[in-house]
Amino acid sequence: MYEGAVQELIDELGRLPGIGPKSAQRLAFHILEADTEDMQRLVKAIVTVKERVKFCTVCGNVTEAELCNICRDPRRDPSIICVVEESKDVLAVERTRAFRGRYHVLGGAINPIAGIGPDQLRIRELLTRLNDSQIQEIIIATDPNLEGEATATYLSRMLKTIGIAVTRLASGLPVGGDLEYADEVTLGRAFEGRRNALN
Amino acid sequence: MYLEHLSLTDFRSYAQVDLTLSPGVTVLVGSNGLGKTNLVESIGYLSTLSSHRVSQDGPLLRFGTDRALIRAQLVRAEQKVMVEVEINASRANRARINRANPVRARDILGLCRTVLFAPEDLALVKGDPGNRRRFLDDLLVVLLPRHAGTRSDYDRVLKQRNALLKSARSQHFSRSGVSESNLSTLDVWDEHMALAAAQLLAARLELLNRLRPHMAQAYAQLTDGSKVLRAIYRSSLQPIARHDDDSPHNADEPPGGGADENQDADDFLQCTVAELTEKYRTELLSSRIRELERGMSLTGPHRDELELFLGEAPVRGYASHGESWSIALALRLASFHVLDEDKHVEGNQPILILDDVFAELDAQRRRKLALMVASAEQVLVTAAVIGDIPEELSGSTIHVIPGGVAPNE
Repeated sequence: MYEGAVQELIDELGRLPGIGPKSAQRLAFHILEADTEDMQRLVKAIVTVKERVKFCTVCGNVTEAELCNICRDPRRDPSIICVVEESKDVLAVERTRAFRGRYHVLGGAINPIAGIGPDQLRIRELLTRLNDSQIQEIIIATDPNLEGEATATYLSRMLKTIGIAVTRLASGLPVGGDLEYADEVTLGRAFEGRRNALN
Repeated sequence: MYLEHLSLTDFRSYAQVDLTLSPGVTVLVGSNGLGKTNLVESIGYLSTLSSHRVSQDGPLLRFGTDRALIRAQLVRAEQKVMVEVEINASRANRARINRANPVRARDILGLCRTVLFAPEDLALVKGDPGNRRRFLDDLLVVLLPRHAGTRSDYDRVLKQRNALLKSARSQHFSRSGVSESNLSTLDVWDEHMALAAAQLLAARLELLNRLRPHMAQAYAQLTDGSKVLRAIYRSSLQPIARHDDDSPHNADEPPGGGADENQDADDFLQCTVAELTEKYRTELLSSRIRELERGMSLTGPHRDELELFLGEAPVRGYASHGESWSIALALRLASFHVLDEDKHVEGNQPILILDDVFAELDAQRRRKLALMVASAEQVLVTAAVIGDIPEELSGSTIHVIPGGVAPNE
């Protein structure tokens, strides 16, 4: 245990994801030894982010305005919505530059162990958006793990009755990889999801 | 396959030990507490990435160290493979194949195949049903590594569904009832549970079908053959098991003598995974009220039982100590034969390891066991007293001495 402020800083840092007690201690001493100016910039950045950044009222993505860049952009196709778990997934899909529609961020996945059910996710907001008759397709892009799949099942059951196209991202082999290095589960999925090569 | 060289660093009691082995029978002899079992435990660890003695890796590290190394040179069909596993106290374990770059430890599963019989296996016969389910599932993963996914998927679905049922339980007993969102979420988990459960059940039944003839044969060969060893799989999909579930106190117990002993889940063997999924769906729906009352999943492979019978009598409660020992041994020998049959890959025969088995058997069974295993490609046997090893089991002997092994004469 260190004295007062130092220990307090270590405790606070240790609460961050991916930071264990040892890393927290190392960061705390780095902060202690670093230039006061540099650290004030860090403090300011943290304060600003908490003050200014909000969640888009339409899609739930992070933004500094009422609406996020993507929801504001008139060039984006309003008829397709890609449903993702987190804001960082928006960034991942954006990097592909293959998707020109809009997003909906759920804020997680159904996970009873962590106490997250449909009511804790932004599903009601999604349904509200669907009242807009422009929307023709929902792409479910939740993580391909158990919780993500469960969320996808939940969404597709709910959307079945609405009468718009609902698709789920494919899972399979990574591009540029070797078949021999694929794990059994991924390869098994790839077999199940194989497609006709003739057209 | 056989193990040609084994080298351990900071594993259990050993700071460093090197062992050169040859195909055929090798007997490791030494007094109690010198570390014979530690040697075979390390070989078992290479094949399953878990110890047969402890559930955590901690005790595998030599006391006071934070890293243990198992290095083995295997020979399978003329081809040599070097497998290394590094067991770390505070980091993820790592493995290397043929001195290449480190890979995830689980990538080496299936390279080193072993069947290990140890005194702990008595729990297979005398212990609770969980031991027998684990026996089937462990063998399943060795035989078909893709089922590692089947098994972990099911475990995860079960945990999530149980968490949901637990939180819905309090609502179930309240006046407002279970909330709409919990019910629709439960529908989703039912669906995933049914899928995962059907896959696991189908895989277990298929495996048991392959095990059965070998089990009966191994037991008959070990004994005079007057009693037949049988196994019956009781699934929670069957009405009989459901009836049993109604009494919370012995929910994990198989029905006593009163139940129809011949009722088996064999009918399900003919079902496709899709049909089994449908059965689970129906069953989950019909048991929903009871599941909400108890706040846990009552249907699924995690409640199934592999019941063993000698002749007409259930083994649990009826078999003697010696019989139980022979039954456990027969189960392991059957595993060995099932793996041996699986001839996808040349040189696939597992290494047979018999830890302290002979001391518990009478002279006649010792001789019979010796004859049964003599034809295996490699057999490793541990014994405290060389006199316990029957003459029929001829091979090389390694003397285990404090801190290592005696140099070959």
